[in-house]
Parts: sequence; C-alpha cells; structure tokens
Amino acid sequence: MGRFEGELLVRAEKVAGLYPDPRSAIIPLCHLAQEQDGYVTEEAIAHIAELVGATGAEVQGTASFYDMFKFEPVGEYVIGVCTNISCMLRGGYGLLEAASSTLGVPPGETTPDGMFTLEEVECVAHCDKAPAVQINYRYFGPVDSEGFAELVGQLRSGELDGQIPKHGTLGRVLRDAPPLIPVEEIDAERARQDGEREARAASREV
Amino acid sequence: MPDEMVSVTLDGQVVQVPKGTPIIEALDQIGVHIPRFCYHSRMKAVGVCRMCLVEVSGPRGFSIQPSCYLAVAEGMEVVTTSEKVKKAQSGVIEFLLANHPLDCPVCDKGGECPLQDQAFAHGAGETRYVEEKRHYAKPIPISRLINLDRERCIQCDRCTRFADEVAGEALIDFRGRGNAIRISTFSSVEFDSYFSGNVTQICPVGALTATPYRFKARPWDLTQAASTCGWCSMGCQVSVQASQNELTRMLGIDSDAVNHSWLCDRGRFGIAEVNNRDARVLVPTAKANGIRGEVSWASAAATVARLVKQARASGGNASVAVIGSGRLNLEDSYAWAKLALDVVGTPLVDGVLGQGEVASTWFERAASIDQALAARALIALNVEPKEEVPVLHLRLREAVGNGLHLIEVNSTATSLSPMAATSIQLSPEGVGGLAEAVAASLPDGDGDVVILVGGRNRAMDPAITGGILRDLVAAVPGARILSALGASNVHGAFLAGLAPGVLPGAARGAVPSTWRSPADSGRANYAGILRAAAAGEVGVLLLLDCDLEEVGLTPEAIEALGERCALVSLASYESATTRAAAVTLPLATWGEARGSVVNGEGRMLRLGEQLEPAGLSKPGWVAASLIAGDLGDDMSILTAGDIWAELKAWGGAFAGVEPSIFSSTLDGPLLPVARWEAGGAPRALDPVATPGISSVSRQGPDFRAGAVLDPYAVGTGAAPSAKVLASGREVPAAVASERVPMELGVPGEDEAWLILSRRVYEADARLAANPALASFVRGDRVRVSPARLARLGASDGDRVQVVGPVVLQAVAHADDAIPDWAVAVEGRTIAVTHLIDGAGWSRVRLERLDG
Amino acid sequence: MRIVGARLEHADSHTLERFLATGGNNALRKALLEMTPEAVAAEVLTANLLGRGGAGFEAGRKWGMLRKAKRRYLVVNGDESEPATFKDHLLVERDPHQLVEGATIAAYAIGASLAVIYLRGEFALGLERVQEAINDAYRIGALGRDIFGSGFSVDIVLQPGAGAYICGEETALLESLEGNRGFPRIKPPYFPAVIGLYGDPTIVNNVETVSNLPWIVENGGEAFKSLGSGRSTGTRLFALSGQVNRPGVYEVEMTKITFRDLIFGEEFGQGLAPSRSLTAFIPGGASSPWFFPEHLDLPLGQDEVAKAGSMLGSGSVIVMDDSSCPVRSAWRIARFFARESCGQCTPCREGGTWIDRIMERIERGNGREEDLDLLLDLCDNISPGVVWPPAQTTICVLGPSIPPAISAAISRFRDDFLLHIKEGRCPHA
Ligand SMILES: Cc1cc2nc3c(=O)[nH]c(=O)nc-3n(C[C@H](O)[C@H](O)[C@H](O)COP(=O)(O)O)c2cc1C
Ligand code: SF4
Ligand code: FES
Repeated sequence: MGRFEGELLVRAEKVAGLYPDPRSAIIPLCHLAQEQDGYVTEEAIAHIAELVGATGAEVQGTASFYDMFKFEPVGEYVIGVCTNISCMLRGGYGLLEAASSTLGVPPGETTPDGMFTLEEVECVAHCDKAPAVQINYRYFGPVDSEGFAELVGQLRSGELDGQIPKHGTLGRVLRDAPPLIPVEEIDAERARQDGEREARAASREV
Repeated sequence: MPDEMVSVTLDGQVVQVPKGTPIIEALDQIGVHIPRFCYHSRMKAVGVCRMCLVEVSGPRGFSIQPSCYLAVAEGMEVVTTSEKVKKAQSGVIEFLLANHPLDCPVCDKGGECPLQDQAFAHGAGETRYVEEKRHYAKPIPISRLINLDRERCIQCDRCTRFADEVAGEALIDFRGRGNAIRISTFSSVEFDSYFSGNVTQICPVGALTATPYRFKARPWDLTQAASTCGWCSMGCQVSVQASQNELTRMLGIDSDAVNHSWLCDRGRFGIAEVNNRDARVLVPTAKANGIRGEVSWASAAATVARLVKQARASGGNASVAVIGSGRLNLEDSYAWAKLALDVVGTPLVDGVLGQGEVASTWFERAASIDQALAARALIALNVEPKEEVPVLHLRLREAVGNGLHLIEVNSTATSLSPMAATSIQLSPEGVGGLAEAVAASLPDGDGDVVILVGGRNRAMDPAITGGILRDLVAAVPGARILSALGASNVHGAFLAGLAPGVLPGAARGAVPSTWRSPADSGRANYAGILRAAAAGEVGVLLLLDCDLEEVGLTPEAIEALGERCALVSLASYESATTRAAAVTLPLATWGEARGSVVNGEGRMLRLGEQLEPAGLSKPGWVAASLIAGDLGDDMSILTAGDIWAELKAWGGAFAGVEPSIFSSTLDGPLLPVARWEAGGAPRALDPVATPGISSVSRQGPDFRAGAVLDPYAVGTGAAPSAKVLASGREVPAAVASERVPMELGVPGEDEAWLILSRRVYEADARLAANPALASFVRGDRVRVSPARLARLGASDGDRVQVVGPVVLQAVAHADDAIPDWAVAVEGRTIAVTHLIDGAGWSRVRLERLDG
Repeated sequence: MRIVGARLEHADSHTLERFLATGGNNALRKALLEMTPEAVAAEVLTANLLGRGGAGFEAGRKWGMLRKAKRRYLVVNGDESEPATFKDHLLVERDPHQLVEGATIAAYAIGASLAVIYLRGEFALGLERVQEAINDAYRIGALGRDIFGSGFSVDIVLQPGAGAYICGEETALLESLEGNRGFPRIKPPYFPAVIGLYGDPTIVNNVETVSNLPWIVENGGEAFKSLGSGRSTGTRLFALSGQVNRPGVYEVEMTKITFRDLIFGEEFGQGLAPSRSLTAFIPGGASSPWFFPEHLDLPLGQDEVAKAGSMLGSGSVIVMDDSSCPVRSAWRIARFFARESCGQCTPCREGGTWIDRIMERIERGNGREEDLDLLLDLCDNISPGVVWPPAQTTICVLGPSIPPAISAAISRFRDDFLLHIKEGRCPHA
C-alpha cells in the first residue's frame, strides 16, 4: 500500500522518464497510485515527490486540484451521474436522486459495503446519451432509474467485470514503444535538416 | 549599463521610466498608489488578486489590465482614475470581503491590515453578500512558529511564492481548486524553514500569524524603531517593536543593499530571549569566599579595577587579558579596546574569537553584498550561508538563479552544493594547494571575483581559513572578499581595535591625541590567551559577552580556569561563565541600547533602542568607562558622541565618520567611510509589502544631549579634561598572529579530523533562554563514512563515542557524503563544542560502544 | 461531405486494419516523403483551417507565429470538457489513428521535438484507443525514429488529464502538463507559440483541428477551402444536445446549413418533443451567449454567429424547450463555471460562487427582487460591460463565461425570475 512496489514501481519509473522534466509525470503517477490503491495515499504522494524531485506539499497541491484524484478510500466503483446542462435538460437530477435511493447513500458517499461511491459530476462529454452515467470512467447512457438499478445489479453480480476494472485503473493499454528519442538529439538533427533545406532553397534562388 | 528608458503617459502625465518597470511601480514613482495584494516587489508578479487593475492602451484600444504584471512599454497610456477602473477595483474588494470573516477586532493584523485599509479606501462600505461564508477550522498551527487562519486568507499566493521562489522550500502550497483553494502543508510535515516568519510579515491579511506574537499587542500600542538584527553579521535591517517595556515583534525593513525585507527566524524570534528576564544577568555580582553575591555597580567596577591593578602589579600588563565574542556593538567595542590597549596596556586582546586574521585580509578588500552577487564568480570558502548568515542564502539563491557562478570550498556538502558550478573539497591533506585549484576553476570573463568567507567548521581554527584566504587572494589577483564571519559585530569589533594586531579604524597613521600609547596586541588570539590563562600566566581575564562554553570549554574547565585567574564577565545572559566569574557585570543587550554595528560587507548600521535596560544592565562602553575611572583614568569617554569623535580622529576606516552619515543613506554607509559615496534614491515604503512598518523611528548611536554616564558613577559629574598624550607612534602594518601549519597531514588510523558545522539553532545560553526557538535544536548525531564505520566494526545506528578533550556518546550514521578522514558531529547540546581542542584543526578518535 | 468523420461509418473504425484499408497514413507518407515542412504548413494556411477548440483561430497562422527556437513542442488538446461538447470524445474513441497521423503531420510541419496528446482523464476508453494507435504507429514505423525512412523523427506521449475543465485552456493545460495545478498563465507574455511548454515555443491545437490535417495534406488546402464559405472553410463536427429528438455529433460543411436545419432537420436533430416549442439554444458550448428562436436561420459559420453576438465556440448546440426552466439552466451553467474556477483570480473565484449561491436561492424560491440587479452588477465586475466578446477583470475567460448565461436569462426571461421570487418556488418544478 502507498509506495509503488514491484511492477508498479517499474511502471512508475518508466512514466517519470517520459518527459524532459520529470515533474510532468506527477499526474500520470497519481493515476498510477490510484490504480494501485483506489485512491492517492499520503505515502504515494511522498513517493511521487521523491520520484520527480518535488515536495510533498507540491505534489499534494497539484493532485488536489483535480477531481479524479481521491484522497480517501472510495468504493470499488465510483459512479458519476452527470447533471450538467445537457443531462439536466434530460433528467439528470432525477437520475441522481434515483441513484441515491438505489444505492442508499447521498452523492459524495460510499455504500457501507464499500462497493459504490456515488458522485454528481460535471459534463462527461456523453451528452447525446443524456442522462449519462460513468462508472470508473466507463460511460453509459441514456440511463433511467430502472436502467441504473439494473447496472448496479450487473456490477454486483460481476457481469461487467471485463468491461469495468476496479476504480483507479484508467487506460489498460500500456505504452509499448522504444525508449524516447532524447529531445536534444532531435533538436540537433532538426537543426541540421533545417540548415540543409535553407541552403538548398538559397541555392535555388541564386 | 544605464537602463533603457521608455516614455509613457500615466494619468495624462508623460514620464520617462526604465523599460521593464511594472506599471504599478512607475505609478508609485509619480505618487499614484494603486491598491494591491498579491504584488510584492521582491517576488515575481503573478497578477492573481486583480486588485491593481487599471486601464492600459494596447493595439485594440484600452483594456483593463493588472498594473503589477504588465511592464511599461514605449508610448503606453495608463488611466487609473476612470469610472471603469474604480468599478473594477471596488468590485475586487467586494469579492475579497465576501468570504472574509468580520473578526478584525480580534485579528492580529487589525489596525495594520492592507485589506482593512484598502477596503476602506476603495470599497463600497456596505456588504451585499448575504450568503454563508466559507468555513474552515481556525486557526491551525502549520509549524511551531506559525498559525494559519484559512478563513482570513485571500489566496494572494505571497506566502507560497515566498516558500518556493525565495526560500526554495516549497513546504506550503495551495491545495484544492477554485473557491476551495487553501494554503496547506503536506500531511504532518511541518513548515519547518529557517525563513518561515517572513510569511507572517508579507501576508496582507491576518491569515498567517506568528505564534510568539499572537494577541501580544495591538499595532497602535506599539512603538517601533529602526535597528539591525543582532544575530549574525549579515546586518539585516529591522523594525523592532515594543509595548510596555517588552519587545513584541521584529519586522524586516526592505533594505536594497542588505536584506530585501527578509529575516531569518533566529533573528526575528530572537526577541523572545531578550524578554526572558529569568535568563538574564540583571545585577552586578561578585564572589566572596566562593559565593556569588549582588553588589552595586560602583563596587563591582572598583573590584574589577582592584583585580586589574593587582594582576599588573604581580605580572605586568600582560597578566590582564580580554576575550570578546564579536557581539558587543561598535561603541562598546571601541571603549573596551581603549580600556584594554591604552588604559591597562595589555597586548592580550581578542574580541573576535580568533577571526581577526580572516578579518584583516577581508578589510582591505571588502566587497559589498551587491558586488559579490554580481561578480563573475563567487568563491564560497568554508561557509554555509544558510546556517551562518541565513538571509544571504536567500539573496544568493536569487543571484544563482540569475546566473551567478558559484564555486564552493567546503569539507562536506552544504546547501550551496546544489547551486555550485564547482565544489572543491577542503581537506586537511590539501590545505596547501587549495588556492591554485580554486583559481584554476574560475570561469573566463571580466568582472570581479569575490570570495565569501565564513566559519562553517567550528572545529577548524579560523587561522586555517585565514591562511587559505591569504593564499587565495594571492592566487586570484584583485579578488575581493565578503565576510560571513560569526557574531553580529565581529567586523565592528575588529575595526574598533578589539582584535589582535589592529588599532581602531584598522588605522595605519598616527595615534590620535586622545590615546596614550596603545599596547601592541598582535601576539595571541583567544586560544593563546586561554592557554596562557590555563598556565597561570594571566591574573584577570575579562570576558566581553563571551561564554567560554561556546569556544569549547566545559563548565568544569571554566570553573577550573576561574580558580587559576579572576574571571570578569560582562554579560547579558547567565551561563557557565557568569557562574564561574569573580565579577559579573550586567550588560544591556540588543534592543536596550543605541549604537552601531558593522556587517560583513563593512557597512555601518544603526542599532535602535526600545527597552529600558533590564535590571541594572548598562551599555558596555559605560562599564568600560566606569572601570577606567576606577583605574584612575576616565578615558575621556562620557558620551557616545565622544566615541564617535575619537573614531573619526583615528581615521582609517572611520575617516570622515559623522553622525550625519546615517541620515544621508537609507542603507548605512560602507566603510571606509572616506571611500564611500552616498547614493540611491530612497525607496518608497510599500505598506502592503510590509504591513506593520509605518511609524518606524530611525535611531542610531546615541547622540542625545544628556545621555551621559550615571552621575553617581562619575562622582561629581565634573567634565574630565581631555588629556593630550600623543605619541605619534606608527601603527604596525601587518597583523601577526599565530600561524597554523598549512599541511595538516593524515591522522592516525583510528583518528579523524572533526567537522562541527555551525548551525542556526545552536544550543548556546541564548537559545536555551528562548522559549520560542529552543525546541529547534537538533539531536546529537555523528556521521562518518561507511568505510570508517565498517573498520570500526560498527554499523549504521550503533552507538559510538567520539573522544577528544571530552567524550561524546551518540548514535552513528553511515553517510557517503562524509570523507573518510572526517567525523561530522551535530549537537543538541553545547557539549559538542567541547570536542574542539583549540589548536588548529581538532582531531578526535572514534570508538565503538559495545552493547 | 465528411472529412474527419469519414471513417466512422465503419464499426471498427478505431482499428489499425480499417485505418490502413481506408487510406490511413497516405497523407503522412506524402507529407514526409514528398513535401517539406514549409509546404505542409503552406497547405494548412491555404486551407484556412480554423481551430476547432473554441477560439477559432486559423491553425496555419498560429503555426506561422511560432517563435524561432531550437526546441519547440506540439501539444494536442483533447481535454474536451466544455459542457455539451463531445465531438473530440467521438474522434479519440472512434478514429484514434487519424489523430495520431494528424499529430505526426503537425509535428513535422512545425519541427516539434516532442508531441504530447493531452487527453481528458475521464476518457478511459479513449486513452486506451489512442495509446493503442500510438503503439501501432511505432510498430509500423509511422512514429519514432526515421519515420517511413524519411529522416524525420518524433515521439508522441499520451498524457491523461485528471478532471479539471480549466485544463482545456491552453496555458492551463501546459501548466498541468508540467505537473502543476491548471492555473492559466497571463497572456501576454505567455502565448504558447512564444513561451509554451517548459518555456519553449509550443503549438497547441485541438483534436478535431489536428484530425483534419491528413485530409488537407492529401487533398490540398484549396480543396478544403472550397468547402464552406468565407473564413469558415471545410466541414465541422457539431455536437447537438439537450431537448431535441436526435442528439448527436453531425459533420456538416460549414455555413451550408442553419441552426434550424441542425435542430429540426430530418438528417440531424429531428426537432423537439411533441407539442414543445423552442425557447432558447446555445450555439457554441455553455460559455457562449444564448440564442433564441429568431436566430434559427443563421448559418453555421464562425463569422455569421459572431456577428449575431455569440460564438460557434466548440461547435456544441444546446437546445432548450418550454418545459425547461431558464433560471435553472442559467444557474446550472453558472454553477459549472464556479466549480471549475481554478481559483487564482479573485473575481472568478469569489464572484462565481457568489453568483451560483444567488441563483440557487432564486431557483429554490428564496430570491429577492434586488438579486437581479445584484447579479448583473456582479457579472459586470467579472466582465465589465457584460459585452461580447467579453472584457475581463480576470486572467482567462473562464470567469467571464458566467455572465452570458446570466444576462441572457435575466434579459429574456425576467418574468420567470420574478415568478420564482413571487411564488417562492420554481414554476417549472
Ligand atoms: C476555459 C477554457 C476551456 C477550454 N477548453 C478547451 C478544450 O477542452 N479543448 C480545446 O481544444 N480547447 C479548449 N479551449 C481553447 C484552448 O485554449 C485553445 O484555444 C485551443 O486548444 C487551441 O486549439 P485550436 O486552435 O486547434 O482550436 C478552452 C479555452 C478556455 C478559455
Ligand atoms: S478567470 Fe477563473 S479560471 Fe481563469 S485564471 Fe482566473 S480564476 Fe482561474
Ligand atoms: S493582481 Fe496586481 S497586485 Fe494582485
């Protein structure tokens, strides 16, 4: 728990190496921490700070700016009901209420069994399927109250397991590419090519 | 290089302003004060509070722009008086007040609050906000010194920018987003920074307050005076504030030349020890039959005089010796130099704890801080500014950020290391060839090379540093020196003549008529004096604000010394030394007497006075004068003005010194005064940059009429006649003191050279007396190389003992950063200093403790 | 006419196989092997491709403003979070290879040292699809070192966002990409093309903008320009949502249809629910000023909409019928911006929440008549004059995105507000 270990540590170090400045990895690493623990623990923040050369206060400052990062345990499924304008116009608030009564918890809370956390969310860019629902950032819509209850049932029964990983797992496709070409190398090569082209253009003009 | 000027129209007025000036400052210059919160001239503009909006012309006509962020440009027009501007500004004030609590009456900032003031000036006066305000737990301690009240915060980003940008310690940051954005530390990590107090000073509301100051006083009850911080030789300019004869607060004044308004916490919160009367020496005492008893000043002075006479009678002038710490102010130092050298005539005078040799190389080539930071290269020799002259660390960080080339010469890594272009190791083996190595690492180019010299390793005799410094100056022709030597007025003490081999002003000319025939003091430094005293060659040892524990003597050793000779301790705080002394004289401390000091760039700075001296304390020069009187020689010093007249007569550094030099400069003149030219326009005081500094009175050396000695002490009060005893003797040209061999060699297998790094929080008698800071002293720690630890058969975390003049037991840590020849010791107690053996570079043995 | 959406008719449009079978990478080969970077940029300039991210600035002109420097970056903006905007969502999930191809072309044209695709963090599927496409591209030699043997090399890194609307604003995006809070930078001087990622010049372009590049390279800028009219060239994805029968993303040639066509047309929105009438619609995402029935016959063109006092913005059209409460709609929009304020600027941070609270009170039936003037005055303090395009007392236009909805609702539906206040409840509830 907390600090990256094993395979996740390998991934974390890889991610930190993807940028000219390792601090750029703070957000991806917070996602990775969330993939590991379901939320971003203090230990993870401290570890990320070490990995990228920042202070804990800075990593926390960045992470806490973003809605997707949770700093306390959440349910295995974080269910977001959109109530923004397009969904609201098509019953988003009604759905949120229904969701709340189906799960038995108000928005912002987690069911006692730790399965579900219900959230009211802002527009999830699924407006043509309004009202839209996201479950661990996998989208569903349009959803009505029966549909919502059905979804919850499927989640409980494990029917959606393949489609929806546990909270925190975003893209399951990992980067599979050769190590990055050092930007300095590209800069130098580009300067050389630009120079050549300019010289050619100049000689044509003559 | 003169600044490029641009022509801009500000509220219809066409003015020339240096290109790049923020509009808000250009407006300040013509007397138009734009309200502001986030802007602080010592930090990068962020333009977030939006308070400073004005109308600015651009390619697409006028628009509302933050005047703090936008720089003037040729042809730019700025309007600050339009309805649009006023509406925007009052709109911002209203937004800021919407969630601001209405607790001004109980807020520490009440009465000096920029938000309060600007709301009054630019707000509507009536609230339209009927919604519920934001709520946070309040207040929460974010460190042992700082409290945070989030409800009062206006998110101006000043404290967080300070921590990150200025101090380089981003231990506080915003957290959350939007309306919920708030200042926060990380988890349980304290905002533990030497510079934390600055955030309370720059906070434009009462969100960040200093715990020691909480509810202490209301701004309108405070009196304040300009002064100079008394902790280190940086000479930070401060406003010292008091209420009911107690120091309540210290704020940094924005001195362009020195501290840019910043202070370190050791300095800022140092007032807590001044206030701690329980720890102070309040009355003169004398020992009779081994028992210390209160006596009158007259009797104490007479006793000292009698002891001096007795010693001289039996052992000659050289059986009286003087050791000082560099903490006495300039006036006191001068009077004591005169008493010692001229009245008593002893050659055994070291008022600067062995640092005179470095100082003598420094003085001829002193560089100002600004010169050092603008140098082609800065060579940092045996110095860790963060621990020795903390605010210089801040200025250095900024300078390195602007491209200063830094070369550091230290025994182990310091906070400079990450900033240094080159790090050269200072090891006992290589002391001889060091200068050449440093010279070879200098970057090409024009411009000064400046050496910053300090006393980082306390276990290394300053004479060694002095030797390297001399070599460096020879190897780098034209090099100048900025000094970070310890104690607030060590440079002033040196220039007052209270150091081996110098006379007042470090003058080389004739001895003025007010002196008789000063002794030649170039023979021994404090270590030599202590050796002589231990050998029974000294009858009276006069200790000027100097606790011998700080230079490595154990209380037992001090006690024993007291039996060999009579110790006379002029001191403000009780210590092992005062307890062992035959006579103790209570010394008025910082904040209790006016005067002046000289900082490490040779800048003469004023000391203000805010308190009556505690108990029967007196300024040091008064004590000297009393003793002189009892020796039958009144020294002709009856007022501080007399001292200044004499300083001027000495010439040298003080040629041309006049009381008026303080009023002709904001920053204080650089010595030698004769060479210094007053310049620089006064800075406009920005009340939003430093709330709380408004009515500061500018005090300096005490030239007030009637500020003469106690009538009781001088008896009749009759004016003494000035004696004309001029000898016209030439002063010796060079300082000759004990030289330490430069090839120190390799210690034996089980021996190591000691590294005892100076720290901001050192467990001396003063810090122990400071309730606000005492808890910051770190625990005993011994660090050695993994190899040495392995040779010892010990491992990381085992207990070991370090054997020197004393034995220190502690937990050992393996640390790659420590060279194999060294043992690095950090101490919680003053006992670590007892490992210093007082000769050259202290050597210790490391032993494993079994079990 | 379909350009960016051409491949979407295939259910497997996101696969490499379909991509290659439908002309994928032809443009990239052409650009890299037959054209100089300058020639590619010239085609884009000719095409007059307007940025599809919201501001509608010509991509070719923006590229031309790139500061000359040794290092420069390309950042593709896929943070799409403007309410009712969901076209990029479609593109990244359904045609990720086209995006990668377009990004590589852009990187070539501007000589980028590194390209980053910043994708909204919630697009989990999109993140998988785009990463897959990037991996595919490396595998087939279309990315990385010496692409297609052309001598041109570039890497693409996929960066997930983490849930903050403001990170769609290009300078906030760069801050986020540098590991910071998404605090927008002040322009000037921080125009990305001058001072961008890590202080180096950077081009930020929207996903849809970049996705148009393969077609432009293949068919030429002139061909693109021949579509649409005036400054509005080519096609555009319009995201239609709200109270309309057939919400969805529609690719249409610019200026060739009207809002009426889009909302009521058989091929598009197919009108409103039976017996409902249109009360208002928002033409370009939640931040644009509202339109009303009298604006229905405006063509879908950038300048046409701007001239009528609003903006085409992100190409999102939100439809409201008479069953919905305009007070509630305006409140919900204000609430969104209040929640998404980054928190730097006082007017946005404090004013946004204040307006949200007042609107909530009114909607819940606790309003006061003086609240209407107060609302307008607060709007004025965030966006002086409440004009369009907005003047601002803030760093970025997030704060000033609140006033359009509030002022539109108050000026057009004042009676609704008064009814709420008088009856102490929402008459539509
Ligand atoms: C508050 C705010 C949010 C924005 N969100 C987005 C966004 O989600 N996606 C986007 O492409 N552009 C967004 N923009 C516009 C970008 O700042 C930028 O103009 C755009 O990415 C440039 O790409 P383009 O020229 O290809 O349109 C936003 C702007 C603002 C002020
Ligand atoms: S207007 Fe709002 S979102 Fe934009 S920079 Fe200012 S506070 Fe942040
Ligand atoms: S925005 Fe200029 S002072 Fe804050």
